[in-house]
Amino acid sequence: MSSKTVTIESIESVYRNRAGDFFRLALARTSDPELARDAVQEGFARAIRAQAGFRGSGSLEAWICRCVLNAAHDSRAPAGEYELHEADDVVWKPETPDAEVRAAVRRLPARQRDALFLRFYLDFDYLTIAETLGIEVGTVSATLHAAQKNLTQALEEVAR
Amino acid sequence: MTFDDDVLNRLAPALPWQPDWADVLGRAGVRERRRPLRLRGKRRLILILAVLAAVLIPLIALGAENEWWFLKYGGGPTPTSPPVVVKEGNWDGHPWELVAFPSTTDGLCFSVMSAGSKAGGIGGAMSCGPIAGIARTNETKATSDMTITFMSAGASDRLPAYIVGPVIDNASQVEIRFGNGQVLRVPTFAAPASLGRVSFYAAPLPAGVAPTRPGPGRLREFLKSVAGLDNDGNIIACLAPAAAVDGISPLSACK
Repeated sequence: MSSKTVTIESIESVYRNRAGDFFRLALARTSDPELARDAVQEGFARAIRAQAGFRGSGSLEAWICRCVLNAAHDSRAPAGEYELHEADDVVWKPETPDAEVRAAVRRLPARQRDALFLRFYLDFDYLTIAETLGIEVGTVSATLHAAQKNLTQALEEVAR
Repeated sequence: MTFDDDVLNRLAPALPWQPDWADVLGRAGVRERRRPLRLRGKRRLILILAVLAAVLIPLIALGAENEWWFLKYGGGPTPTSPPVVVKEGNWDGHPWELVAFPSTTDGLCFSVMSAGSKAGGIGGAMSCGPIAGIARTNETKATSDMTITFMSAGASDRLPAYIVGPVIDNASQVEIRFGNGQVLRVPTFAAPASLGRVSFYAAPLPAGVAPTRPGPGRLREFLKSVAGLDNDGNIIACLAPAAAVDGISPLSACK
């Protein structure tokens, strides 16, 4: 595949079209809208600062997605480790997932969780998921299947 | 919708997203090339300029001589009608005034300053945002109107630390819940009719409360929520900034 040059304009195009989806991804990872928004803004800023490092052999969205995920990770422990909010600190209660959902997601292995998030919130295809997570494309399907199976099982367990 | 869809939608609902590319460029250290330097992201101003204002604005205001200091803030919001003095008061021996104007692009702008410092804007701070009750223009940003918001600044030699903001006009009181657990209830006062159907509240911060500099999770240390209450004490406007989206929170966030 030929090398491509990433420009600020191309990063802005992804931002204009996809930042809302990246926000949901970051929200799922941080469970905090303020931190999620900050992660998206910071992730795209990192992409601009590191644009020379884009090898051009893969998807620009996947590369930016890694920047956003890293920013979300830096802003807070990943969803697998985060602490639940105090009850009175959850300010969007009607939409807030209950503790069981978050507990179930917390039980997923990180790679399965991220693969599930990328598929659902960003509608990434298997190749782009593989690029984002640095895994073989042939393992994506199995990873997603395992994620769904484990999430279902975890939800059943935490509901007991 | 599948089982997983429901779970993942609950985990991260499709909340409104307000893009702010200028902020991204600023974080990256890149100067925006296609638009002139001007105030952007006024919703951010509410959270950021407000707490930095005590530092930033007096410096900017030094250059203003003959008119409202905030109109000299290069490229700032353009009024659609002249600024009006909404309220004059005195906090602990420090006279102050609240001035507001509707803008072409950023909704309602409001400023607090030491009384008599129209040109100099001593101790002044300004914030803007689309507020319910203020007429929009064709250029007003396409974001939802807020029903209440706030601006807060630390103490200076001219003014004590304070909190002020607009609220929908049928709110008679505002309840302010600070991060340290203190609660303050203050009456609202109506803006002049020329400004629109909006009220304001303003109060010095109680002892032991001070604005914090912005940063992830920092705002909640300062302020938990501001809520507009009607005559019966019902919450009719709410902003819980730690998790608000574009300055808007559901009423339940203030209960």
